[in-house]
Amino acid sequence: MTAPDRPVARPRLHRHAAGGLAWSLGILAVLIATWYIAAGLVRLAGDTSAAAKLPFPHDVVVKMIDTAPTLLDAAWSTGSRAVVGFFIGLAVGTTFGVVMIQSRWIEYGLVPYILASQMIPLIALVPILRAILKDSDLVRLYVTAYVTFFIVSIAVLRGLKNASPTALELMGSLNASRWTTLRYLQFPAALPYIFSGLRVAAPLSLIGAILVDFLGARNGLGYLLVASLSIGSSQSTLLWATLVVSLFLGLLFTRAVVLVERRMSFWQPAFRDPLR
Amino acid sequence: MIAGDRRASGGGPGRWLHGLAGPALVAPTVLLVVGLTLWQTGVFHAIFGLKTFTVPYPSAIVEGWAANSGLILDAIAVTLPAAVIGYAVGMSLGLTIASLLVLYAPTLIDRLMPFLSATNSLPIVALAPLVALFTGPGALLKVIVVAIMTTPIMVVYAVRGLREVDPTAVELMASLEATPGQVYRMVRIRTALPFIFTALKSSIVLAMIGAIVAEAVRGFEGLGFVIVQSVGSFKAARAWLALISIAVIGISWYLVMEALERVIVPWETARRRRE
Repeated sequence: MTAPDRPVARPRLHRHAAGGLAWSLGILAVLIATWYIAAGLVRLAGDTSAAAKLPFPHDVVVKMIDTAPTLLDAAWSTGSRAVVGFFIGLAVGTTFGVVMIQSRWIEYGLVPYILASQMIPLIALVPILRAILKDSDLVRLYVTAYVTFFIVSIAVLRGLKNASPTALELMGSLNASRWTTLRYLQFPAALPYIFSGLRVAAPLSLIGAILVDFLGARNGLGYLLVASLSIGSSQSTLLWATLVVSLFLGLLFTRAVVLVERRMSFWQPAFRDPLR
Repeated sequence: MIAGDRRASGGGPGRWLHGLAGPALVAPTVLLVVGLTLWQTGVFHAIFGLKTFTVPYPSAIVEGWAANSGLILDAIAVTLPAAVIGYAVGMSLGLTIASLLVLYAPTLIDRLMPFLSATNSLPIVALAPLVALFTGPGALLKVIVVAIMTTPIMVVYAVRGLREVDPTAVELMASLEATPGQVYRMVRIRTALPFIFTALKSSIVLAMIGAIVAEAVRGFEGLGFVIVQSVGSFKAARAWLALISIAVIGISWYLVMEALERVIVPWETARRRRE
């Protein structure tokens, strides 16, 4: 029982595609059924205020279709800024990683601060950033770039160090320049690390953008969530609908990163670092 | 020393610990002093066009402590307990779910894991307003939001850890007619401990985020509320003091868990140091 435990312990979706899909649909069906039962029980109990807070799934779907333009608009203003900020963070983070690997003085100077700032909850910075920048879109870009930057710079640094020492010696004996070593040895060796960082960073960039919406933006998914909350429980269906859209967008972000990873670092399909 | 530095600056892997006394301490300190000096002397303000009513000088923040310490400490007393309780609930719930799955439904895990891993890519924080719908503002909201945010992480890591057992150890236990419960207690929980600590450490920042989001979205007290309110009323020093308190809490919390890890799983810490 435990011998075949190991290869199965890190399941990947494409390996058992057909059976996996059936199972996924089954689990999804169970979740939706549970939701129906919970919502039905609340109604049977005669709690009208709770019933308003917990609509049936089909109510939420109807609401999503009814308010599709609003929801798509909100998803666009939050999602597009998150994507742009993600790429800014990726570029800046990669640059920092590459610079840090060139000199241990720079590395040792910066790494403690990068690690420590990951411990600062992002949301605490949002009000201050908003006071400085006075523009929700700019704050979204800064916040998403900031989240991505920290994760990427550490992932790039770790990844570049992943190059095998013998290969590095070979490059040295061939008198390869730093750029050649970086381009043909260190960077490919770093890709798995970079991508496992990106898989963490992609949903976090979206979370960052939603947090900005929470705190005083005039549009976006987070704004819709807070606004439908403050209007009262009559609007709770909109809240559920927005929530579904946010969750879907988060899954989409991560799937996109996984797809790009399969194209770019196809030679190392087995690499999945469960501990980052 | 100099020769060693030059050799390592080529980017050799695994040289972290060589000559640590040199750059590892000096470089961050120099950077800190330079950064604070540039901030205090107004160079940053000039370059980035910052205003002192949003970004005060470090000296002004330090001076602000006297006037705001009571308020900040009160806010900490509101936020920290809620975050810690939610974290404890999330961690124990996650460990319980993982243990039940590994013990009673091992075949189901492979089917459930993609779903559990997918929760990492969901903006779970968006659930905060939803929870607020049912709880209203207050400590309960924070505890539930923090628990919801941290549980899946513990489930994912603990399941991995509980299954990462040495097959020969399990075979030995089986040959001794050990029950699954005994295998769990004597083998699985031990191999899982490093994974559990990884989950414990990476959930800290989420616990803080969850508590502060709940306060900022639907709160009337606590650190998150103080920041939003102070910025709104141009009390920048107070907002920065709250921000610094949050950072200090998060980092100390992390250090506490790391110290615990060193005591409880010394072999793992030693292995990591060797690498």
